[in-house]
Amino acid sequence: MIGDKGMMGGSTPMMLLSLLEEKERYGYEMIRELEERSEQAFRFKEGTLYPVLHRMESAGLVEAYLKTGETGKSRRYYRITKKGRAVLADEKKQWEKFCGSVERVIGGAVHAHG
Amino acid sequence: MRMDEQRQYIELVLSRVRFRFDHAKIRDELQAHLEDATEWYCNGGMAPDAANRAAIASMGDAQEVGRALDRVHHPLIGWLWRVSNWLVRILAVCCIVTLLTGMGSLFSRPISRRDRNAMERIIPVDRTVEMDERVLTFDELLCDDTGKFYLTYHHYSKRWLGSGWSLGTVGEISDGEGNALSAISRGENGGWICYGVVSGDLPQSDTLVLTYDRFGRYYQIVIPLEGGGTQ
Repeated sequence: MIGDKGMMGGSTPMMLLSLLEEKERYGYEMIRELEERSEQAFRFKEGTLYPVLHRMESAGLVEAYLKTGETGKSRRYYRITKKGRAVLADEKKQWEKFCGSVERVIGGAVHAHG
Repeated sequence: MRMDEQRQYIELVLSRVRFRFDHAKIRDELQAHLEDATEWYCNGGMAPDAANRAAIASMGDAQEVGRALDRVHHPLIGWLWRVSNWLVRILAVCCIVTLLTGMGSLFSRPISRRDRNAMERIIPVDRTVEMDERVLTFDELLCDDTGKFYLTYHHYSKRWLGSGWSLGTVGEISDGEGNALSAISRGENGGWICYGVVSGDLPQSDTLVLTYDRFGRYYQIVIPLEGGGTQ
């Protein structure tokens, strides 16, 4: 059974944590990265990213800090915490289990009649 | 014009966020996002005004974003967080003050080094008594050239927190024949190690006797007045 962990329900936090696992990023950077990697499949209402990020920060999954970038612009960057990495690993496992279950159901029809 | 529209959007978001202490943080973050988005659309070939409108439109409904942020930045949680932060700071200041007060007492002495060096005689006493959790040590008897004595002592509590009670008098002074002598006692309380001194006129007898007999506690220290030397 695929569990739902309240705030962590849905795949958005998992995708954000995956991006932050690679490196620290700011909000707009994450939006562009998600769009690019999903080949425009994921187009968010960008403002809704921040409640999700702030909730993840409250839950201790990410840490936020101000950093001045190369252009001299100060932005709020996020980085994944140890707890965030643990939750991400768990979420990935559950996601793989979920995908496997869906594939077995889809493939099961062929198998049953085969 | 462009900035005004962005500001209006952000203010509309913030109008839904009740915990005002977090407004500045949210405002800065949304402002940076809108600027980045406008720049991105401009780089894609849009005119500045169109890029500005596109950036705002891509954010989604301001009230919806504001309500979602309000749920995360709930006033109750925000206040609890702020109050607990203040309490931690107050506690830290109290700890530092206590620490400094305690450390300060380590360096203060009832008789300065200079005065001690000027004494005519210094008689080692080095007697320790215990009363409840308090350990009291009489260190030296100092005699000056005007015929006065100074009995120095220090005390500390074996308990980590709180002294339990302040040390009042350390006892009554008498001569070797049991005649009470008038003496002045001054000492400190509150530090980790507290120092004090009992002073008075030297008796003619060979000994000085300190007797404590109060509240069911008793000790007596007999200090020979012979001997001793200068520092």
